[in-house]
Amino acid sequence: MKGVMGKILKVNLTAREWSEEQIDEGIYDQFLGGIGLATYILHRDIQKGADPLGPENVLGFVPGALTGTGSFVTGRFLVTGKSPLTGGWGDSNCGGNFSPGIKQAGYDGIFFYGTSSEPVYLFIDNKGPQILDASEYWGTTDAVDTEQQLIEKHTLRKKPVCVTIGEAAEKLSLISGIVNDKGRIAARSGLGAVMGSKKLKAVVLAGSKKIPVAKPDKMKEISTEYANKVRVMNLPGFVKGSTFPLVGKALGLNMRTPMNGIAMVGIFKKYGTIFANLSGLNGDLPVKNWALSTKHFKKKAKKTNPDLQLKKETNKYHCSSCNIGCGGEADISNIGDGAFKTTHKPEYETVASFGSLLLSNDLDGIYYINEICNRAGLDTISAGNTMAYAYECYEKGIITKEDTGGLELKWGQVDTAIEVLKQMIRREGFGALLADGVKAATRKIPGSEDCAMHAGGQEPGMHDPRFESGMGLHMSVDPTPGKHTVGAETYYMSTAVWNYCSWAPKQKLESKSHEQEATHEGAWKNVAMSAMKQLVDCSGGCLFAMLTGFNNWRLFDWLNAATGMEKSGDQLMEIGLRVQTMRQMFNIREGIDPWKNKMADRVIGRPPLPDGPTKGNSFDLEGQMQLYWEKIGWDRETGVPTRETLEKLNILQYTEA
Amino acid sequence: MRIKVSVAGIADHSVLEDGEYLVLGEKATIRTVYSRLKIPLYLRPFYRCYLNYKPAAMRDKLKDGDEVFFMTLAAGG
Amino acid sequence: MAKIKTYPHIDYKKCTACRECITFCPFDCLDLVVRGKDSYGNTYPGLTEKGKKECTSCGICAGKCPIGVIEMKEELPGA
Repeated sequence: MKGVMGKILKVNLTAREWSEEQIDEGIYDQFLGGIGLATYILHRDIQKGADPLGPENVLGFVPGALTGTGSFVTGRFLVTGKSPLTGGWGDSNCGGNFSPGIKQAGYDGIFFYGTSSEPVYLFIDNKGPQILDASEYWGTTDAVDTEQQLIEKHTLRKKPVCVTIGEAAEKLSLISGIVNDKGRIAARSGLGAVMGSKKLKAVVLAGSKKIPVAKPDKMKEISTEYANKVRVMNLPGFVKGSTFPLVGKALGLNMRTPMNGIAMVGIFKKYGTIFANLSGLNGDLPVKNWALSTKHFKKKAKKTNPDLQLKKETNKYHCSSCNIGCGGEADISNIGDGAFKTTHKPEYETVASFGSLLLSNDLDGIYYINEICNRAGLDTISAGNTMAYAYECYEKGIITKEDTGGLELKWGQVDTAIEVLKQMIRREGFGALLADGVKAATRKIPGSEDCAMHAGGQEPGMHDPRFESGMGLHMSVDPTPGKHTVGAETYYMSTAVWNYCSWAPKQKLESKSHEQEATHEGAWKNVAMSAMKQLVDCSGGCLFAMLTGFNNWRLFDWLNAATGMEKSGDQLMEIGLRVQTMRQMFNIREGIDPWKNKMADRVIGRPPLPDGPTKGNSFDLEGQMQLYWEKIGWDRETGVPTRETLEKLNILQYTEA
Repeated sequence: MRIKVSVAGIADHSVLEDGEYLVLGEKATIRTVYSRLKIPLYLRPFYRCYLNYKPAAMRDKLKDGDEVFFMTLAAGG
Repeated sequence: MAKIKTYPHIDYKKCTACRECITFCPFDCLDLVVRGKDSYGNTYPGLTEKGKKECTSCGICAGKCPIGVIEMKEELPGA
């Protein structure tokens, strides 16, 4: 198969050895690449019951099948492993510039086994891999500086690309991630701690191998069509951040309309994700540790107007192969103590998790926190949720000034949050209680369970299931729970996946009212959502590109043109289903009860909010989960994939221990 | 003629066949689409219209099989 | 046989700043150095000062551009 490199690199850190493994065509045919390939390798190589932070865990970096083949917005990579945060399947999708580097080094994946006794990093150039000493960086240098220094050190002819970990991951924080390109983080699932436990400080890649493509002319043709569409999508000049509450209102209307996803490009090009700072006032934005409606944040939200963020922006930022460019870089030399010069523009998730979730609108503080988290390699979503949890515990008197070391955790105060955050990263004082996220904290702070928002151990992303129930379903039903990037009705309506997949229901013009109930059609949509998201992750694609619609961002056609396969939409979607089922099987093998991944009651409207735009909303999560399981071919009562399904997807051989 | 229309947000979606097709008489222009969808005048500035993925003007003439879509402020995720 | 020296010329009316040319240049001759081509504040790829001296005219950037808007010409760009 073209488009892929045909082999993976396996690095044994205990023995400091490496070896290559050729991957059979049949495996690519079944799993494509990216996360699919990782499910195959990790199922095989991680022993049942392995300690996520022990030498038995395997940490994998995988680029997508389309990465570097001339398609657009397919330059993302995934970090995979057994998650120390949830105890089950862990993966984290990340942009930046690292992904093509893996393929240029000659591999479809780099997998780390064992544990090194001393800090090391892996360096690969065209001569091959080397495991080098990293003790001068370990414990002394943050993720961003380490990256810079390693790149300088290894720049010969070509500047290498690099992923690193920061202090949080070195200290095995279960909510830490892996950083590349000065602050793009594979943050979820706590895989930074896995890298930390292996004493692996960084991976530096400087290869320049060719990536084979089956039909380069066809690739160019599809890419040109997409580029032409994206180029002309520009917001009218008078559209300002202050108009976004109107956007939110329109989104919150009670009709769901099929729409051409390319329309989103205008907003992403100008603002990125931060438009949701204000459009989220429609009920999508969580407030005060998910306890209040957006009504209580409306006035304060003005200070998080995305235009204020654009003012700080010095530069747009594109991840590898992205023609949209939703990211940005900002000058923060005059913020706080001036310790940092620049940062990546905080995403909506960060603005919400350290903003509305703490009842704060201190944008400067959020920029500062963003850079602290980037450098330490901390997940801003999990950290924000954990902070809000601590604030609530303090408010309710579950913890007092004595526990916090004299700090007063008052809602709206970001300065205190910065102090606590620094403690969390260093695992010192009060911060040590919070360093591993909310679930671990409840074990150390008795009586605080009701304040802890998580699904199966992972804290939820900043989109409220009371506004959109599909979000809550996917946060509960996905093998990596708590993620906001898997599925939702708003995502589905613009993907046009029904043009490619025969069983994916077409989005009709319909009332939203029944979306909160468990319906067969809704379940099929959710299954399709999961399958297409896994397919996108196999390809290295980006969620936001997916939202521009497969009729514009022609992933299915690109896949065939790049690899030389001739697979139909249904066959490609089957790969997605296969990968999703493999991920679920991993959880089942590790003894995780799928019911236990249910999102915390408060987040799904139990009890419902008494006011605001999502007043009274709650939904039949259990019923929706069961229907989802039924449609995807997992047991309706237990969520365990049935033998029949495993046989049908031809994965019984990989999942039988 | 039959054209494909995509519009999110405030509009009269009931005129669309199958949720996305609009049947129009000959000589129809983009302006016709605006009025058939009953997009209120005061909201029109918030709708940017594209014809076959190129920015369109009110007087642009339509032909069978054209694709019209409105980038509205309701687009988001 | 002397090879004719050529340099990449990027059509900025069409370039999408996706960085593929930068990613695949084997000698780091390209970087995001061109500004002011749109109202969004994007920086676009172009030959760096180092690149102007060291470009080997290999044409990989032109081949890798997803939309084929890089053309190899004999004169230096932006001169």
